[in-house]
Amino acid sequence: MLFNSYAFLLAFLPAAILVCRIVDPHPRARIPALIALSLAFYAYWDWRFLALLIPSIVINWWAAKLYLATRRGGVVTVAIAANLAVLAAFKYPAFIADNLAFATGVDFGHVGAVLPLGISFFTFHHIMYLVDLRRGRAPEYPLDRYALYICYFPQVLSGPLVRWNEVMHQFGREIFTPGWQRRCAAGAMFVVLGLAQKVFLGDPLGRIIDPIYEQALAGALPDGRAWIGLAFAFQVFFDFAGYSDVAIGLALILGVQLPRNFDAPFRASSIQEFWQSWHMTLARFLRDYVFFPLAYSGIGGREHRVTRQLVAILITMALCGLWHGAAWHFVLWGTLQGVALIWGAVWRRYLPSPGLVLGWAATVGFFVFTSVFFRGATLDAIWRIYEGLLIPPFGVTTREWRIIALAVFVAVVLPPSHEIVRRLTEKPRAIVALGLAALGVAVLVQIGRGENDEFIYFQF
Amino acid sequence: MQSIPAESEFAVERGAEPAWRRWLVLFIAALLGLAGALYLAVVLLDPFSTGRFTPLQRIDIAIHSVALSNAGRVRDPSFDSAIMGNSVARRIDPARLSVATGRRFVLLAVDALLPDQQLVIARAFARHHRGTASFVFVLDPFWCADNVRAWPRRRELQEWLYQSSDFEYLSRIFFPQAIEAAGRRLLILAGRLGPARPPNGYEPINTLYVPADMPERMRTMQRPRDAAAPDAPFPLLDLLAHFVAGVEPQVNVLMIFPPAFVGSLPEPGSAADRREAACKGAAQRIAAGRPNTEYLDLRIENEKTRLIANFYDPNHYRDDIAREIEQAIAGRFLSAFGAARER
Repeated sequence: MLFNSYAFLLAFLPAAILVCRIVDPHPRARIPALIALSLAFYAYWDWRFLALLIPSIVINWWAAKLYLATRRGGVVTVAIAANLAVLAAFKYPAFIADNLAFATGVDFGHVGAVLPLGISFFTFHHIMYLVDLRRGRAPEYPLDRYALYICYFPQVLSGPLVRWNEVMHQFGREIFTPGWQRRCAAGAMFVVLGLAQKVFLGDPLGRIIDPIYEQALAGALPDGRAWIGLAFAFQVFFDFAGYSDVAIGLALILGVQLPRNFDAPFRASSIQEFWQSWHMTLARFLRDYVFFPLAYSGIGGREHRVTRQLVAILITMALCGLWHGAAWHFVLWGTLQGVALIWGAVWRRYLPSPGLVLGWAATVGFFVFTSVFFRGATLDAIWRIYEGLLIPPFGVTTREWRIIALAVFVAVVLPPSHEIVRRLTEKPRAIVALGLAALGVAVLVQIGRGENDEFIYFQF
Repeated sequence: MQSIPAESEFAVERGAEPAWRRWLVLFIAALLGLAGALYLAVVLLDPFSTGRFTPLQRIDIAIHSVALSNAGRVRDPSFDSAIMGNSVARRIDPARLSVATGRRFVLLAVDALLPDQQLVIARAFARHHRGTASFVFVLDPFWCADNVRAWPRRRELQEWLYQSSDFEYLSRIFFPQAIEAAGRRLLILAGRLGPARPPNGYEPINTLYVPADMPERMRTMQRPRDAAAPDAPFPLLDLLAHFVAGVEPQVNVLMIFPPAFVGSLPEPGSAADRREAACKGAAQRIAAGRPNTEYLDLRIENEKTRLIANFYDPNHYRDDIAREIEQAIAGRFLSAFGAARER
């Protein structure tokens, strides 16, 4: 179910709030009710995916139980390997087959499967819990609580990637306790602002950007319109930051605070700062569960500590790229981010600070420029976009410039949504309620277009 | 990594609950009230003149989008004959055709519309002009595809505006262009604005974007050679055959392949040539199989189609050619169907 659909906003969400209100006085019914709602939400897209999600929950919970009973680390290792194998089986078979074919010359024909929604996200949730369990940091949880951690509908499809210790204790608590009104108001603000980012900024950008990348697949872009392709960095930002805000807002309405996922990344003045404010929960996952184990593995001894850390950055970011998509251009995108992070780390250590403005321009410019690797469907198409940038952008229409300028302004100048919500919830003001309602109506009208674009991160 | 906020971020201060409760009530009431009022206004103003759920039964063209405004044109009793097609048909002037034939033509062609989408509009026109309609179908190679989804949809047609249940209509009418058109219609009703586009759908193109190097491209273009086998199916022509078989026998139908620049015509003797010949043959058979149905082929190589100056691009002829097409259509209408019937 899309958050930006009438089915969700006018039917599912009111029903979910009503169900939660009804079960709120009954503590034992709270978690089962949320699980039922979450599974219904998940199954709305394709009920067959439940055949993966439910066994995935049960088997991982059982593995955790087995580990706690036996204290054998191999149990967790096997469980994590199995999770990654399932992810690979759904997400990477075509990629693996294509590369094997390239290496061996053997044609494996068409290989591929339908990607179950949210698989990349719930796989990472399993991994976070299992790793922390083995590290002795995570306790045992009953099946229903663990199931809700994995399938909680505000975050099951595209995150934020939540650590078990951030939400487990929030699940099953009474929602409508004294003071719930301000929390719900904040939740409503996040939902409306998130949807507004999606439908008024992300989607219009997508409608001017998509034809450019389609054209790049077919041939050269000789009219200077390739420059529009660079705006993808802003499209994916509003798309995913918008999605994250809706998820955070929905959870808040239902009494759970999720971690924030973006913090004005386009104001960052270094690439390190950028990656600390872009898809923050993924960056945190990669830091804690990929980078740290690699960087502090001890391989090569103390004398190669710096080299090891730099290589760990590169590997982590290459894997970050591969996680985003099963294609070499994603790996290249991630690797480029890794190279930039290394460059930034070396610069910070040996060279003087370039200053805020220059640092900001270099950081944002780099991310915008390399976003072509993220969006382009093939390396040829990506090359054609870059070739097209050699021609001045005279072919870009005034309307297209307006859409891009508005997006850049909002991304760079306006405060991040959590800051806006914080300010708006300092005290209850009628004008804010009316303004938010008007924006909500505008969002509903926009959603009525009936061509509602999926959130980009649904494909990951 | 910056810190992620604590869960108590939105905890309420003691004593502020009633104020926040009032805030929530105001927000929800304003959201529902505003959305409800706007929705009701859109439905009652009937932005596309479909005549549904409204006391307003007149036809107003309140939106620039032809795909949307045709929802009103299809039910306009001022017209009894329709020109169907895509951008290739949009140079044909329905007013000239009306004068020449004695019928009352409306142009229902929409840029980039695919054949099955054109038939949605045609069916709506036929339904609103039961037994009295005439059609000119301006055909192009899109009709000759060997599967219905052979071409990507470059334009979405809001098919529900032309044919839908009440529930579907009411569930889809709340969208930005409907709000825009409802506002404009209000101003039209108040006499403050005129129609957004001509009621008969025709307006001279003066904004058609033609790249400066188009003549050079046309001069050097390679004529198509490859195509599906001649005996492969023509599912879109089958849809057309089904349509003409379904309308009343007295409904006049003319199918015409208009002229195209020679560079876009198939290479003689090639697979594409054989396929196009088979396609034209299939269209002829539709005409032969039903009374009051005619076929006209102007998509041939001759002096006019060899002249680059007669075309904007390989597929779109200029106005001089359009006038000749109108004469050809009028001539065939008069010779085959006679003068306009009294209706």
